Amino acid sequence: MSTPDDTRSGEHDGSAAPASNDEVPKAPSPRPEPTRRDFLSIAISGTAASLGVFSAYPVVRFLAPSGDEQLRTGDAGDEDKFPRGAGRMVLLGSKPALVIRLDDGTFRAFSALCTHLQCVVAYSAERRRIECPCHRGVYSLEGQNVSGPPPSPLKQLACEVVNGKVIVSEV
Amino acid sequence: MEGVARKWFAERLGTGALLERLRARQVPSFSVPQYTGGVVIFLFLLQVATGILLMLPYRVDPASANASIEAIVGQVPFGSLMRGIHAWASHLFVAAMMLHLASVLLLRRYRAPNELVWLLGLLLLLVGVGLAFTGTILPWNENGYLQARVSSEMLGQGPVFGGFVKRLLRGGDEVTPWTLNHAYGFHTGVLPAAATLLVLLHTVQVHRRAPLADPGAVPTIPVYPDFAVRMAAACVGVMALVVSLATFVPVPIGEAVDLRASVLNAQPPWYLLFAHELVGSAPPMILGLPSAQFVLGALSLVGLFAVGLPFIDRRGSRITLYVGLVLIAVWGLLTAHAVL
Repeated sequence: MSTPDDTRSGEHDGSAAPASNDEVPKAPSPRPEPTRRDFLSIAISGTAASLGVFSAYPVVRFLAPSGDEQLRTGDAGDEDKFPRGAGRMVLLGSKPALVIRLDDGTFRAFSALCTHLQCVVAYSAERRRIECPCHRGVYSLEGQNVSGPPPSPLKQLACEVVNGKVIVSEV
Repeated sequence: MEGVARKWFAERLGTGALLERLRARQVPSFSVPQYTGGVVIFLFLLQVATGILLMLPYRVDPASANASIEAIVGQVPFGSLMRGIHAWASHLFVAAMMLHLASVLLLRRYRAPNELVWLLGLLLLLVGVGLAFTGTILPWNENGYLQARVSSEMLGQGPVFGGFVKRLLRGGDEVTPWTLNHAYGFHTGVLPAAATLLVLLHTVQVHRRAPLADPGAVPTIPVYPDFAVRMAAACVGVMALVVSLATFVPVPIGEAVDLRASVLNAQPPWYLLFAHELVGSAPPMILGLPSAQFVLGALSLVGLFAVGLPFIDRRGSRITLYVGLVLIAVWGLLTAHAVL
């Protein structure tokens, strides 16, 4: 590698030539007159900096696109093949949703994304509740956060039977 | 004949002058940060080499990513070995970075004039953990899918830039096939390039200055040939360990993710278990904030402390040393608790 000294050379040459001293100052001015070199240096570095900023914006937007997917409904299968007390996963686009058929035959649908850190929750038929396995979060069958780290209830989705099919859609 | 060829190349490449400089340069004969740092670089290069090979048969597509890794392990000649080396090297890489950090911390080598080396090292730790972590997403198995989800959601909890970070990691608002593309792009392009640059800056900064604050206080050896030979021996040992692990301890591929089929369970890699344990055992709300947000804030403060360390710890105080020891102990306890 390089020696301690050889990187320090070259710091003071070239830049900021002192103002020529053959001029007699007419009045005591608080700041020295900017030289042509100063002006050009500011203009060039300013242009470079603004070019950098202007090119950064499209790059940043390109890197982090936003905008939602269009598909917002999902099919949970035939109503008469959906047992009471069971739960099923449905995809709304790429978002998982959970449909549960209660003992009285009615359907409930929730976004299957845990409100804690968006793990995918699952219905537990034995324990009659919705559970998030990642950090042991528990929700009631109403989607209410009961125990564990989830800070808020599951997002409720609309669920209706259309022509014998159970259709889930975002509200 | 061989001597003629060597002379011909040496004259043109200037290796003779370089070796003379390395012969003249002294380093401590034994220094833990020196060797752990060297091992980190070796493991990084090993992962670059095997990673480039693995890029060829891997398919960046949620539908076929998992199957392509099955094929690498099951069909591609020596694919299992290459993947094993890559995966095991990544675990040892993170472990070596942590040992390196701990040794620098405990020996207090971060002090002036090493502030920039320390800061570059912290940045490297971030990039290195990012490299290892994005690698766990690529098999697009249940764990990888959930890790992509949870990590982006966690980092998205931050103020101001949270939304940007989340979309950057996911390639959109949601976890979609583009999330796998983004993870792949970071893993094979952005992060290795950043790590290469940072390793160069970090190492050049270490060697630019005379590394000895007090010459004569410790026994020294020349960089070439003594240190080079010792470092090479250490790398051969590490290589033997990696190849043994890759041969005898298979790294599971996991099932391809199927959101409709099963209960997905996830555990982050061992080096992030402490965060898993923190967010998993916290109550829903802390001080009016969702606990995940609070934990992110607390971890950021620890990061800020690490950044400020060389500027706080300038006089002979031992307080920062104790804080460092406490942090290492807390990390160990949380990890142990998550494992047990």
